[in-house]
Order: sequence, then C-alpha cells, then structure tokens
Amino acid sequence: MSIIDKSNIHKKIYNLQNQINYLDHEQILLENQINKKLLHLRDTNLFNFILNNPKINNLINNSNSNNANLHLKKYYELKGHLNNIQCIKWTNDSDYLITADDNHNLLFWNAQLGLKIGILKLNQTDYTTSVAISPNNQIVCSGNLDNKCILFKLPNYKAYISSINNNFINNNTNFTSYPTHSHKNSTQSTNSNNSNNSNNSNNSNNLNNSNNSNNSNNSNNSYDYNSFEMTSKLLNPSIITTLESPSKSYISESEFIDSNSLLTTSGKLASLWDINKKKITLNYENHISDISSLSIQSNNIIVSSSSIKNNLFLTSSGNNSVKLHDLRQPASILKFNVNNQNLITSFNNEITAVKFLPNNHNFVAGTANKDISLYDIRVGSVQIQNYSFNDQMNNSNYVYANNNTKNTYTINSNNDFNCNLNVQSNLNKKNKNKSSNFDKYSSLFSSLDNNEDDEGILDINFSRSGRLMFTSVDNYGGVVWDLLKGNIIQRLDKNNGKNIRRMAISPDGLALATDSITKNTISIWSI
Amino acid sequence: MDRENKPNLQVNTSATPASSPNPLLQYKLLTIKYQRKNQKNEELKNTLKKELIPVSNSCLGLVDYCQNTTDYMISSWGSLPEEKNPFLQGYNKMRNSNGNNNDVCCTIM
Repeated sequence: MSIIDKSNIHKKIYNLQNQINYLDHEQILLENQINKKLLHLRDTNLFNFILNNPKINNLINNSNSNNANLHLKKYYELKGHLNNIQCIKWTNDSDYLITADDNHNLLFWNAQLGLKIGILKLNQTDYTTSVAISPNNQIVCSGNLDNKCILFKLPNYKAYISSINNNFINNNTNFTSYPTHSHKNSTQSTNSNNSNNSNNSNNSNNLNNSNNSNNSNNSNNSYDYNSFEMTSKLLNPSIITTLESPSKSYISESEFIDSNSLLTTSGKLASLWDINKKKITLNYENHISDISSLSIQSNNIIVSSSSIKNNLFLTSSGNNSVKLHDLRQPASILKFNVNNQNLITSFNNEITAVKFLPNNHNFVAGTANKDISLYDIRVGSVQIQNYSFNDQMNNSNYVYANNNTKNTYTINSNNDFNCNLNVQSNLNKKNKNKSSNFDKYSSLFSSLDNNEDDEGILDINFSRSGRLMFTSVDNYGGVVWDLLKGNIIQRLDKNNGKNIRRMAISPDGLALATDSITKNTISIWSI
Repeated sequence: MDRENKPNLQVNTSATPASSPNPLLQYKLLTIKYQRKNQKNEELKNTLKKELIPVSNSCLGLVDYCQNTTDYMISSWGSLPEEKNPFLQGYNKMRNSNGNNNDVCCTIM
C-alpha cells in the first residue's frame, strides 16, 4: 500500500469511530425515550383496573358470574395408544381429534362419539413430535425428530362414513364379514370386531402385539401406503411429500395456516412452507435460543372492523423472549422480553408456552417458574398482569374459591408489584396478613425446591371467551384459572391430577381434551 | 436501561490506528460494527414511532370481550340445549344405541 492510501485509511477509521460513538450516544437516548414511553403506558394492571372501576368490578364479581361452578364433565376416555402421547390436535370443525404417540402411530378419533376412525402407521424410524391438520381436513402433517414433515392426504371422512353407514343399512352385514384391506395380518382382525358392537365398549380395542404387525408390513424401507386402516373398504392415503427443514434440530411445532401453507418451527428457525411447490416460502427471523412454543391466531372469531386479521403468529424461546411475526415478512414486528418484575426470581424464567387469547390481541406467556404473564400486542412489551402459580399454591385458598378474601394488588412508586393478602383460610393460619416482602420472595423459595427438570407451565389453552385459562403444570396437572380475577378455580380431574400433560380445547369452545401420562388415554370433557 | 459508562465523543488515544497491525482489517470490522449499530438504531426509532395504547385501554377491551362472548363453559351463560351440543348428542346416541348403531370403530391389531 502506498503512503497516501495508508493515511486515507487512518482518516476513514478515525471518522468511522467518531460515527460509531455518535450512534452509541443516540442509542442511549432512544432507549431512554422508549422506556419513558413504556412507563407512561404502564398506568395500571388488570386487577387494579377492575378494582378501580366499580361498575366493572360489580359486573365481574356479581354472584351470577361466579365461576366457582365450572361445569365440565368427563364424557369419554379414549383408549388406543400404547405409548406416550406426543400431540393432540382438533380439526377445525371440532368433530375429530388427531393424536400422535411414540409408537409411530397417528390415531383419528370421532370426539363426539368417542370412537376411533382410523390409524396411520408410520415407519419404525419416525418419532412424531408434532401433528397438524389442515382446515379442510384433507392434509395431515407429522413433524418428527428427523427434522422432516411428512404430509399425508386423507380421504374425506364424512363422505366415507356415510357411505359405510349406507352399506350397513343396505346389506345388513356384520362387522366380521367386512374385508379388511390387504394387510398381512388381516386374519387376526375378524375375532376382535364382534366386541365392538357391545354396549359397554365404546372404546374397546384388542391390543395384540402391534409391533409384530409393524414388522411384517414394513419389510421394505419404503412407506407402506396401505397403512391407513379402517374396518371397511379404504381409500389409500397418499403421502404428498416430505419436507426437510434446513436447521439441524427437530420439528418442534407445526401448524397449518391454510390448505396450502404450513408453518413449522425447528430449532431456532420458524419457516413457512408452500405445499404445492414443496419448498420454503419464507424463513423468519431467528431467535437466540431454541423456539419453545408457537401460537397462531385463531380463525374462529368474527372478523369485525376492529379485529386483527389472522396474519400474525408468536414464537417464544428459552431466553425469555417472545417475538411477534407477520406471516408476510421475515423480520419480526415486536419483541417482548418476559421478565419478572423482580430480577431475583427470574433466574429460571425460560418461557415454555405462549398462546394467543381468542380475541387475537392479547397473549400469555408461561414460564418454567410457573408464572404466567399477560400481554397485549397493541400495548407493546408492558406486562398487563402476572399470574403466579406458586403464590396461588402458597395461599391454599384455590380449592375453596373464597369470596371473603380481600386481595389488594398495588403498584408502588418504584413500579414494584406488591400483593397484600388477607387470607381468611382455616387451613393456613400462619399465612394470615402476610406482608408483601415475603411474597416477593415466595416464588424464589418454592423454585429452589424444584428440581432442574421441572418444566413449569407446559401448555396453555383458553375457553371461547378467554375468561377461563386452562394450564397444565409440570408435576401438578391441569389447572383452571379465572383470567379476570386471577385465582385458580379448580384442579382438573382430581383422580388423575398429576398425569395431565397436554391439553387442547376444541375450536368451538365446547370441549377439552386432556391426556394421561400413565394410562396413555385421552379424556374428553364437555359441558 | 441505564448505562454506567457513557461513551466519549473523542477517540481514545490508546487505540490509535498507528498501533494496530492491520488497518484495513480494522476498517472492515468498524464498518460492520457501524452497520449493525445503525440497523439497531433504526429498529429503535421504529418502535418509538409505533402507536401503542396504554394498559387501561387494553384492559377495557379484554374485559369487554370476556363478558360479551358466549362461553358455555362458564355457568353464568346458562346451559346449552341438547340440539346445539354435539357432544351431548353423540353421548346420548352411544348410550342409547344398544349395539344397533352404525358408527364405525376400528380396532388396533
């Protein structure tokens, strides 16, 4: 390099460094302005807002809308899975359920009757981690540990079943004489079908050793396209394609946006696929750590002038951040840092679950610390309300939905969230007139007892109005919260409590499906 | 986010260009750094421009939605008549079928 060039370089470097220093200064100014703006927005939180508005307070705390009597009854217990259930999804019309287990099976259920419709047997090497079904019920996606999404095209059930029913009426034949499809072990099936017609066995199944049947079918490594079983003549499901994600992880979540677009998350990457073209249309902005949860906006709200259209989705990751994306652009719209108000209790605060409320404006994020934070995408990264599972457990009044408790929630001048509890509980006289200082650290103390494997909040679902929040908590089970009052209404399934890990609410809001870890069954609850 | 160390607007004399072994490399690194900081500042400006509503407005909207959307899981909305509850219909159908139903249930072999 000549001497003249060298001196130019030095000048350029000098200028650049000055500009960088200016940018640093500007960054500080901008951050301060943003913080001031957010402080200005944070004028209240949800509980305070309700308390300070007497009309709204009366409306919610009216005896007519006392939610202590949540009437959910268990309708069915769906038996058929032999191994851990990985994913439960409803179809858009709330008629059918599709579930995946560790035994390489996808099962289809008629949720209203409690019957199995069909089974899709996957290859022995395919461990399904997530399942999705398209809004028109024609395409099923099974995302697996090999980072692939296998798409199947399904026959039209309703036309199917009506044709079968017509055959019954016309031919008056029994189950036993129905020809099963060309499966190698079809001779075993005739004995079991008789028991289906008995009264008591809505969910009966004779579980022979299904591993044997798998081995005999999949003698070659290619897909057994005939492995969609029904006890009648069948239409073969065709495997449309296998989509392979570019990241080096596994498919953690998958959701259909419409019948041609599939959204998957794998590792740190969320991507949108075009199914006809069989490739990725868009890769969204990466998270810093692996994506733990995905939530798309629900399709069932009436699109009014003020509602947001269904173009947005949320992804949450382990480093306390939730990103709001628009389907149409790769950069994220908003980023939320979900930190507890108290830095001390946020050391284990990975976000494990994120979910939109039915109004498509608000969302909640559940953490490993068993805290749930409510946000609104129009407000930005200001937390609207915090729900702490550990605090609810410490207060011991969750079972008794006590109308005599007077809890005041205030924000003091330092914007710390203090909770003064006057608990009139016979069980726990020690907790009377708890001071706020102890409450600040109560989550810390209880979280120290947790072992590192405690995953906190596993899954969050909402009833149709959003008033009821169904969460499944690791090592505890399913719990129903009142979103506006902030208390736990009841624990789901007192007999089976700890074994609930996954939940799914039907899109019409009438039914809840929960799984059971020990029994490998799915319970359907409805009103 | 308060930062304790405010950057000087003057260049540090200890890091003079003359002391670095490869000024071209340093220039490249600085351009990358400049671009990144510029981009971050642009994003901050965008978030500042966004129209955000205060929490109280959002709470009002949320309460309104929760109170006005029919949700039969809550007792205050009453009970759903059987004609409109497909789960209750299906359950009654299965219970009353006495084995004559034509619905399909497959078994797993």
